[in-house]
Amino acid sequence: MIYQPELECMSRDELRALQTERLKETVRWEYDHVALYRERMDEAGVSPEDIKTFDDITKLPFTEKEDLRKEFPFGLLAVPREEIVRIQGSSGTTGHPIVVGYTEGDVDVWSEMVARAMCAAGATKEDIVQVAYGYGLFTGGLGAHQGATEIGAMVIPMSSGNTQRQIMMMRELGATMLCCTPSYAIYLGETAREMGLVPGVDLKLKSGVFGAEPWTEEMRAKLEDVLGIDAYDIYGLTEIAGPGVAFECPEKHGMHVNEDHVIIECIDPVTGKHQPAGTPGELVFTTITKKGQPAIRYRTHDICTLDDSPCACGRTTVRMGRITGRTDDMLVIRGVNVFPSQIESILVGVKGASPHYLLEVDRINSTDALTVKVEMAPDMAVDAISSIENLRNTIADQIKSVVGIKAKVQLVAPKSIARSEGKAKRVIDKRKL
Amino acid sequence: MAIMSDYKYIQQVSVYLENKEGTLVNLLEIVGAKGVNLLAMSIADTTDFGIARLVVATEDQAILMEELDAHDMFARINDVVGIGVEHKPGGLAKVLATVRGSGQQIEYAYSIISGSEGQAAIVMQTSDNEACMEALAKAGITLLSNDDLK
Repeated sequence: MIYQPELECMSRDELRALQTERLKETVRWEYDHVALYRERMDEAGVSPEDIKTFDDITKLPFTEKEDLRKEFPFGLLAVPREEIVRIQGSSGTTGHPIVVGYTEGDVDVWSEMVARAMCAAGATKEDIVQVAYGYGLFTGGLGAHQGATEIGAMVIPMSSGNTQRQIMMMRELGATMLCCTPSYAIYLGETAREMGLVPGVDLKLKSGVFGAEPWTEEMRAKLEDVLGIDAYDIYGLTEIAGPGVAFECPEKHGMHVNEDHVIIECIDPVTGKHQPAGTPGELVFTTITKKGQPAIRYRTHDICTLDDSPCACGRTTVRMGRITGRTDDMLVIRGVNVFPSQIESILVGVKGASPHYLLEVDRINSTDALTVKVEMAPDMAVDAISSIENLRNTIADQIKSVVGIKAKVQLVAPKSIARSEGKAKRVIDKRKL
Repeated sequence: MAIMSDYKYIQQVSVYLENKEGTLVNLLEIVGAKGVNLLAMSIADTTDFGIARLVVATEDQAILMEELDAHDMFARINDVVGIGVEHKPGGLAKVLATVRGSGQQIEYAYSIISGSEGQAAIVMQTSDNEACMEALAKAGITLLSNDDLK
């Protein structure tokens, strides 16, 4: 189902025209009302009048999370404080919190975006939507709540945690849809089964919208199986709105970006230039319908690939793939951007290899050399030279074709690459630049 | 490649060796320190890595595997064909003719340090060990297990 076909399915030309008009208004609005944007634009020698076409967006300076930290709490508001009806934010894994202010209109825009996501997952007024995201400054709980309310569904605002009680309410009230993180959804399903409940019999769930953390197709299969539902992905970030910036349709082949509300760009993180469609790059968002705290060219540092080919569902909006990494992990080798996540996705698909690896970059005779150390899978046969050489060549060939550079692959014993708590160390850069 | 065979066969321990100085010596010291005697050994090497294939007494296998794991060495047990060969000129050729006759390819082969009495012995991995052993048994060639080696 498509919530607003007139907006979600308009021709690309109409959409570009709408985006351009809204971009011009937003840039003017920000320039007139927010000191930081005005200073940045003046420094860059660009004025609101210079933004005439869609492509003129590239003339605008970028903004960063650091700007939200520095201007905390109200420095980036483009309206008087009393026009703000809501604050959402994040504690920030790196320390200082950030907050974003919403006008009443901004909350409506956000709700509309989530409503589209819910509708794509099959939500109607008949549905009973259990929201098991945390409610609070975090945008998950209230975002899902508003989206479901916008559609007219009945919301069970459970918030996160208290798993037994979640399942009891889900069963007693006959929840038909679930919104939470994918990992919590799996946990809910496993717990329900441990309690002896049979999805489809004791539980009436038919679908769910899951986000706020990266997940894989394997997790989707597990989640759909354990709860007996259709699982949809949703993407968002507080700085732009919250969940609903992009969402999956029933094709489940990328997330449709709500392009009438945001402009998405995919850039080379080093040069800042646009990547061709299908090439991974950093996502950059510009809000074009918000008034309280709009964002212009906000750099997410999330790495992703965009797909602008037509989708079978009828929506014309561009689709973003899963987030595959962060720019902080990116390496530039012989002028090619290399993301460790690309190597990881190759290794997951090669039999005999494990996704534990280390990239070593060195400069030998003024040429960058990449060595990829890969742990063999514990069941890899190591008695014949040929099977080991085949494995090594397969990995090297795939790196060449996917990443575009020649790498020396070195196979190592299982468990021989150091595991660290939390974030694994994937890169050793020995180049002295 | 577990064989589940009616025939006698040899279990070998293959150890993956990274191309670093002293890895082979380390391996042999680990083996020796546990009092494990090598009944057969072969080293295959390329410019980037090597493989040590070891045959030890059945009762030593578990000890060896545990010890290699404790030293972060990657080792796997696999089943291979063990053959007793007449210790005289042309003895091995005669056996290999049988292998060829069975349509199997030899992937690698090496000799056993101490064969059973009056015989030399070799270990080999073929494209289909079971079919190979069937042909060898039919030709009256002695098949060996770890327990036949001293």
